[in-house]
This record gives sequence, structure tokens and C-alpha cells, in this order.
Amino acid sequence: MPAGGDSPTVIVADDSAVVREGVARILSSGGFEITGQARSADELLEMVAQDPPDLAVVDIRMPPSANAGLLAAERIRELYGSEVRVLVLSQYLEPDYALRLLGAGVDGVGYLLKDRIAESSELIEGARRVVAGGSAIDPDVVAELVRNARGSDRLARLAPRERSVLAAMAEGRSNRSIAERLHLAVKTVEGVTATIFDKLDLQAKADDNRRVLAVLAYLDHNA
Amino acid sequence: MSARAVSGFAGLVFAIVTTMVGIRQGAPLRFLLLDAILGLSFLVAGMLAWRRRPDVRTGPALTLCVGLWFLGSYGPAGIEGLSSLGFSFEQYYDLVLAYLVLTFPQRRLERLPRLLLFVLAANMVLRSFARLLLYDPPTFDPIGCSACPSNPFAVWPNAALSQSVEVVTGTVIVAAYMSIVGLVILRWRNAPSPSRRILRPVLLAGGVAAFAAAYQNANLLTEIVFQRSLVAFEELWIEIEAWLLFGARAFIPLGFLVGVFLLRAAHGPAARLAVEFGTDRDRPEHIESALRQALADPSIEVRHWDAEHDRWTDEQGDPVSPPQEADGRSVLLLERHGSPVAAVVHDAVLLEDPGLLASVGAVLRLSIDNDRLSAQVQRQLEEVHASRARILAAADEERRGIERDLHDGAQHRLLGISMSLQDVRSQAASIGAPEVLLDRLELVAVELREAMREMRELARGIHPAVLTNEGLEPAVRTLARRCTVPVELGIDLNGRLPAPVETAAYYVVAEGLTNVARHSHATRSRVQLGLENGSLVVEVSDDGSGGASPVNGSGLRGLSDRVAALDGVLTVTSRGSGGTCLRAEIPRP
Repeated sequence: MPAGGDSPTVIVADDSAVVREGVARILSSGGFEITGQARSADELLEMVAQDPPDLAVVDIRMPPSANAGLLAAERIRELYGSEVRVLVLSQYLEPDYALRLLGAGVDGVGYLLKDRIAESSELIEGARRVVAGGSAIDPDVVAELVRNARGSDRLARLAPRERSVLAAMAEGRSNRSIAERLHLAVKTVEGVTATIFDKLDLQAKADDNRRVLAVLAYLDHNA
Repeated sequence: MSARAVSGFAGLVFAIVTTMVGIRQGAPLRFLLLDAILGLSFLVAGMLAWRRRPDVRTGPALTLCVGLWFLGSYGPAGIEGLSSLGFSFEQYYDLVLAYLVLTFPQRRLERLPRLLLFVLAANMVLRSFARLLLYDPPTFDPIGCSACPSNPFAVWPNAALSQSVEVVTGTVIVAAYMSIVGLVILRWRNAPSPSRRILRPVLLAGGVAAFAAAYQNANLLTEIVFQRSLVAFEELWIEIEAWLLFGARAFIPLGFLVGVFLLRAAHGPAARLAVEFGTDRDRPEHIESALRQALADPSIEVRHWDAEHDRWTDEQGDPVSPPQEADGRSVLLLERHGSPVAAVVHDAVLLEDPGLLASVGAVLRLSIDNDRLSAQVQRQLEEVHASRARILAAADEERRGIERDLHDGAQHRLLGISMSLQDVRSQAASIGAPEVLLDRLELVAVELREAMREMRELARGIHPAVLTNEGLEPAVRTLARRCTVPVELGIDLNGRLPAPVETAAYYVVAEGLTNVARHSHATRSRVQLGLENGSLVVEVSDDGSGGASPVNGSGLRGLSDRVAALDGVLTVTSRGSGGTCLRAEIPRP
């Protein structure tokens, strides 16, 4: 969170005015301050350079090239590190995009489907997690990974509730967030995560971000 | 009836009549027989030559010799009038034969031989008329024909003038025949090799005949001037000498026949030529050398018509002068639909065998047509190939365009509607709208999200953006993730590949995994991507029921076309119970 408790600043980049305006409105209502709106990757990089915001919400697909948004997002992370967090919005369910973003460091990064715009709370919550230095991976993208990893024997040993918790961990949620979402006690969630790590033979990670990475890597490698 | 048949028939009748007249005159039978055989040998050779080459004068000229031959046979006969005509016009066949020998085959006469023949002809005609009009055997006899009947045509009998003319013309005629012998020897020595082979018998016969004519005329001269023969023989030898002199002329039809036979013998090479052209057509200069060998004519030149540049070229494609008939050179023009294709410039002697030239021409035409057709087919095949690749690329581009339009258009529009709906719902909630209305709005929102999801899947199906943006490996990973049968991935690619190759490989994996999921009852499958010898090798295998795979399904057919358009090969191996393996090898362009 930015110092002084001010509203976190955001630059929204999307070549579609509808999406840009929509995202800006939702994030404004969620307590973010919109400091700029960019229509292309180059414009975004220019704006960020002029006045680095706390968060850049980036459309994965922007002019000039098909994946210019993704490249701009990576560039921002490379140039500004933890100073500017990046949330990528995408129409693509492919987990590879998310994994590619996470590959450069899991803290302060998000990959959400644009569908989330229609559920303002999800978008706001994801943006907040990212600004706070956490991660936000779209539940549908995680589901895609989990679906594919179902062939893994170890994953098959997980109980349905354990699988839900696993997916929530992969989304980048903290134990508290998982507890809220699944209507469980935080203590219960802690217990379930321990069991999951045990069953999957993973080293338990206290840090949420490292936990996300571990879980995603597990899912991906068992793909 | 053709002129040839009429002439042949007339010649035969003339021979029979002459022989019968000879019998009635009480001439020695052996002499008559020899005379008839020699005359008929001209007839046989003339008929053969006429049939083989109706377009040239050899046949008719030889046939004409039959008439001239038997006309001379009346010279020693005791029939008034006929005897004078025979004596006056004897030995004209020598003139015709000299002309034939000097022009064979189809040569235009050079100035010297033409002059020689003209002088010879003029003197023979002069002598003939002197004999016809001035000479009367019973009154004066310079040439020993006292027994001959008197000449009814002798309008101005004049012994002195007759004798002078005989001496003068005789001298010139002897000189002319000796010159012809010299010319024949020269031609023999200078003839190009294919000509020499065929010319030799004709030149040999011609030389001997011309010498015989010179000798005979010289004999006559010495009789007139010195009252003795050139060489004094015994009685027996005189007859043998006469026979030899006449027989020498028979060499000529014989020479022509041998020449014809030698040409016939050259037919074998035409067949060999066909075989050779059929087996080895890599080198264009091969045609020329093969022709030279087959026709034994090292002077042969092959020229090709370059329709594109409207000019003649040699075997190497360099422009050359148009093929022209020149002295001793002839041109065989090969045409197709009235326009030239190629031309063979060859020694004119080869015209003596039109059959050989025709068959060699046919072989050559076939060979050239064959080359032309295969080049054409090759060109068309390349065009079709290129157009197939273009069509495929265009179709892919179109799909990319549709996906882009869906993404930027309909998908964003649905998002906008979705956001508006959310606004409407929260506004409705804030003004205390009835729960029923809020529930309905929520239901619409859920439907809308579902529509967006479907739209996303549709766009993905039309063209996976991840393939274009991220490459083959992530795209294949996605396919593997989505397959209902567990997929083991073995991907070893070094960076991106050309878009058409990636797209084709993607569809191979997509189709392969679809079949695995749908038809194979497999429990696991494997996708392997790797580079082998510059080709991308894609393999999708499973442990399913094998045979159930629809090898000829429309999906695989389309896939096979797509891979083939990139010069690749798609194979399906179904191992019965051992599963199915779909394998594509796609070369990198």
C-alpha cells in the first residue's frame, strides 16, 4: 500500500474505450485514483515513465502488436520492480500467459480475465491484492490448470474441499481471503493447506506469494 | 495409273520389242540377253528410286535411261531408218548418268560441272544431228558400218563434213568424260563422311561408266582418224571389251541400289536413338551427339526454336542464325501445330532415305515434346503447389482476422453490456427495486457471462491467439490441458518456427488429440514435438484401440492437405491393439 494511506494510483491501458472506462469506473468506486488512461502499449509506458502509478492495469492485447500489452507489462515489472504493480486483463484462458508473468516474480502481479469487469468486487479485490504486493490469478485460469492436473495421482488423493482450497491458493489468496471465500474458519484453512502440502509432498510455505508459485508450478508440471 | 507405272510399263515393252527385233535380225542371243539385262537393270533401279523418292529426279532419270539404252540397240540393226536413229542418238544415257552422278544427292551443280555437262550435251546433240543429216553408211563409211542400211534422213550427205564433225565433237566428248572422271575422283576425296559412305558406290560406278564412255568415244575417234582401235585386241577380246564397256554402265544402277541398301542399314540407329533419348535426357547437347552418331553425320547441328524470343538457338540456348538449306546441306524442320519446334541441319545425302529421316525426326519430336510436356507439367505442378500454400495462408489469415474482429468487437461489446447491466442492477438496488427484478437482472448477468465464455471458446477455436503470440509450445500445452485423456508432452523446440509450420503442427496435435479423446478409448497419450533434419516432426500417439481411428476421416484428409501444402508428409500408423500414431513431418521453409 502506498504511504500515507492515500488512494492507490492507477493507470488503465486498453485500446477499447468501453473496457477502459469500465475498469476506471469500477476501480474508482473501489477507492483507487485513476491517474491516466492509455490506448496503446507505448502510451502506457510513456505515462508510467512520466508519473509512475501504484498499479498499471494492462490489456494483454493492445496495439501495435497482438501481445504488446503483455510485453509492456513485463517491461514495467522489469523497469519499476515493486514500485509499480501490474494487473493484466485478458480474454485468454491460457494459463501460460499467467505463468509467464509469474515467472518474473510472483509478487505484485495479477492475471484476470476481462469477464471479471462484470463482477466489480472480484476486480477490485484482485487489484487490491496486487497493489499490496500479492498476486491475483483468475479462478478460471487456475481451474484450467487444476483440470489438467487431475491425472496426477496425488491430486486425486485430495478431498473436494482440499481441492477448492488449493485452487484458491493458486489464485493468490491469503488464508484469510480463502476462509472468507469458502466460508471456513481461518484455522481450518491453515489446517487444510498443511494437509494439501503434505499430500502433494510440497514444502509448506508461509509466504502467500511463494505458496502461489509452488502450487502453480506443481499444477503446471503435472499437466 | 501413275507416271511411274506408265514409264515402267513403257520401258518393259521397249525392252521386249527391242529384244524380239534383235532375234528377228539374227543378232547373237548372248549379246541380246546381255543388252536386255543391262537395260532392265536401269529399269529396276529407276523404279526403286522413283518409289522411294518420288520428289527427286533419280528415279525418272534412270527410267529415261532405259529408253535411251534400247534406242541405241537399234544402231547395229539392219532396219532402215531405225538403225540411223539408233546410231544418231546412241549413248545419250551416258549424259543422263553423268548428270545423275554429279548431282547425286540433290546437289545444285557448281559452275564447272554445269559447264562441262553443257559442253558435253551440246557436242552430243551436234554429233547426233550430223549423223542424222550428213551421214549415209552405204555411200561413205568412216566408222566401219558398211553393212548398215542407208540413212533415209540424210538430207545433205557429206562425207568430209560428217567426218570433221565426228572428230571435233568426239574429241570434246572424250575430254568432257575424262573431266567428269576427274570430278568424280575429287568428290570422292572431298565428300563428308556420311556422304562418302553412301556416295562411294555411286561415285565408283559413275567414274567407271564415265571412263568407259570416254574410252568408247576415244576408240571411235582412232577408228575414224587412224582406221584402228585405241588398243588392238584379238577377235575374242574385242567382244569381251565391248561387253565390259557396256557392263560398266550397269555399275550405275547397281551403285544406286547399293547406296539405297546402305541407307536402309542405317535404320537401326533410329531405334537406338529412341532408346537413348528415353533413358538419358539430362544433357541437351546429348541430342546433337546422339543424332550425329545415329546418322553417321558429324556435321549435324540441332537448332531449337525459342518462341518466347522469336529466334533460333543452339543446344546451349545461345541465339544462332536460322537453319538454311545450303549446298550439300539440308534442313529437317520439326513442327508442332504449324510452328517450328526444332530443326536438324544435316548432310543432303541423308535425303536419299526419307524413311530414316522421318523416323529420326519422329523420335526427336517425341523427345522434345516429352521434355516440353514434362517441363510444362512441372511448371503447373509448382504453380498449383504455390497456390495451395497461398490459399492456405490466406485462409489462416482470414481466421486470424475473424478472431481479432471477435476479440475487438463482439467480446468487448459483451463486456460493455455486462458492465452496464451491473450498473443498472446496483442502481435498481439503491432505489429499492423489488427483489424479483434484481433476481431477473442477476439471471441475465449470469447468462451474459456464459455467452462471453462461449464467445471466448469460439474465438479460440477459430484461431488460438496464444499460437500467434506465444508460439507452438504454449498452444500445444493448452491443447494437452484440455484433452480428456491425460497427455504426456515431449517438446524440444528451439524457439519459434515460421507461422504456417506452427499452424499446421498445431492442427495436427489438435486433430490427433481430438481423435484420441473421441475414438481411441485410450488411457493415455503422448505428444512429441521435435526437429529432425530441418523438419518439424509432430507425433501424437495413444495406447487406445488403434483400428478405430478414422484414417480417412475428413479431419485427417484436410490435415493431410494442409501438411502437404508445406511439402510435408502426414502418416497414420494404426497398430491394432497397440494404439494409433499420427505423425507429421513438416520441413522448415
